[in-house]
Amino acid sequence: MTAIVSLVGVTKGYVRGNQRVEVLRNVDFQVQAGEFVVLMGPSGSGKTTLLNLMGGLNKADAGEVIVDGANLNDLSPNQLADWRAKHLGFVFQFYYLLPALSAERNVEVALFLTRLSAAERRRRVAAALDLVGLRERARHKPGELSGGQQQRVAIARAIVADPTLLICDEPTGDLDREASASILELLQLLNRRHGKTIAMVTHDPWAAEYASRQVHLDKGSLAIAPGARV
Amino acid sequence: MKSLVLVWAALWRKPSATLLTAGATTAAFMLFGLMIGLYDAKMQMLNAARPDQIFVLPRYYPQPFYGMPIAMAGEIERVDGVAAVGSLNNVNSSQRGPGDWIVLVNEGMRDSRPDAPVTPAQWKLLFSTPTSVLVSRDLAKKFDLKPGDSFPVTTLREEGSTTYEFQVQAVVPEDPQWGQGMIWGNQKYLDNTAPLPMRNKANIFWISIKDAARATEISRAIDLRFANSPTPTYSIPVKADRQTQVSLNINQIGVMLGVAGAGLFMVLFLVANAVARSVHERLPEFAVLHTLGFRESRLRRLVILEAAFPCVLGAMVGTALAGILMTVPARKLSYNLSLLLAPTLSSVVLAWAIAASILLALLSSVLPLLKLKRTHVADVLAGR
Repeated sequence: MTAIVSLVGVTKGYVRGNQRVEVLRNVDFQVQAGEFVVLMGPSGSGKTTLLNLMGGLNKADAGEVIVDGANLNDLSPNQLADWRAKHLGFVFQFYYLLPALSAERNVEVALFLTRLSAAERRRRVAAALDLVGLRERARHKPGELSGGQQQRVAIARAIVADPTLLICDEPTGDLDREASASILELLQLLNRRHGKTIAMVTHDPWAAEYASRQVHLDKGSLAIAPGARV
Repeated sequence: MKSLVLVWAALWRKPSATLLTAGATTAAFMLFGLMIGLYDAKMQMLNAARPDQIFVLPRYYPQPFYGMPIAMAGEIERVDGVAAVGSLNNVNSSQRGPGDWIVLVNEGMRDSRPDAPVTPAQWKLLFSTPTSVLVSRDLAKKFDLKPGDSFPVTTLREEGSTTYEFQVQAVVPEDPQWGQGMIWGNQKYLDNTAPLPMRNKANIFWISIKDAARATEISRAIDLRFANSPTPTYSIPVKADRQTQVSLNINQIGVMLGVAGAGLFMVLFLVANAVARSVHERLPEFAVLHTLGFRESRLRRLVILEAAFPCVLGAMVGTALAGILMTVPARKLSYNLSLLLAPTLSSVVLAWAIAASILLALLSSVLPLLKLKRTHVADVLAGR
């Protein structure tokens, strides 16, 4: 298997007030192509920081972050933006859809940076919405959709540009169990049937069961959870 | 074009707030357009003033005052440097209407005002009969007059009122030196009909000179010539007269620009506040766009476009409304009021409005852009 994500000796800290807090300490971590990895751990353990480093939203203080062959520490902000557009899809706990736009327009936003024709954009948007099971709700605005449906639109937006890696930060954190299950099944489907590599953060052990591998973080270091599938 | 979808999404998040902001901007730009229009009208009149022409007025107005003898024109013509002398007089209409606007001119005006928008044929028509008048386009529209029409004017005099018919011989373009609207009649009307003391009199001599550089010197020479006569004169170059008017109105101009500036500042704070609030509320949306690959420069452009929309829309609609309002005085108001309110909607006003709207958009965006720049995407997405 090929490593899509490779973090070597990564350290990351923040200054909070007058104090420096080290969130990640000398972390080595890999995600293989086609994996569905879930990052778990208590609050403040560094899960989201690790995810943000993989997404190029933060830069490591030390160590290397290589994603799909690119060393993210070497990229300028503009290069990082261009790289994100081509290689990454993000899904968040809150869906952050544009309320004035329809579901299909919200998904299309992710293609605005491409040179695709309007017709091709529409075709891809339709395919993405079809994949998440919302084709018939394409014209609905976010306010007319349930939380689970909005998250599906957010997932469609994340996958419409066909990214290499899908980064999901607590994607079911704002949903009830039934809606969560359908979202997790959708992510599993994207991983198993469409080969998407997924890195997901969750607090919920039940949600973690949908992943192919679980990684636990504690106080900024990796730990293998007891009984976890590796 | 694709970015416009995002700008639309931002603006239509809160349609009522967007519409109210656009409405306030429109009102401010209407005020701005009117004020700048007034300022521009004054400047146009100043710029149109010819440096090679002089006004000769009576120095004193003893009562009863009937005007300066027209015979003085021959004397003025003999002053070194004077090219031609024309005279102007009022008709003293006693009722509201076109009569308010009639100024009687003599044949000397043909030569002293070579710049007047009157053709030789029209001059000839004017002086063909005593009741002939030339009407400028604005007033022809205002009073619905066309060549061949006639209108009555009643004059009130000591011996009683008399009504005369004036006949429109031609409709002529506006005279930039005259201001807003003119009706020129024939001095012969007064010479033939007025009581004897009022005949062959002029309120103003409008003279042209051969060398514009000598305007002040010639003005002094004219006044010197009549210094010891029964009718001492006060001569002033036309350009200097207009400049004096502008200087006298300097406070008025200051108020105009002040009101226009205050309106723009009001809108600046309004739009800046609206955009800052909108950007603050939408920081997560900007963060998501950032994760989708939008560069910071593109996000900055979106914020500026969002600010530009109400500004430019307000400038366009507001200036158009101001333009409509500007037509009201000429049609509805009386002579004196329409002289006071004679703003123009020229390309200068439009240029000012567009430049001001772009500047407003840029200034309104400064604080929101700083906020956006200080925002860390990861923190926003983490809800911090």
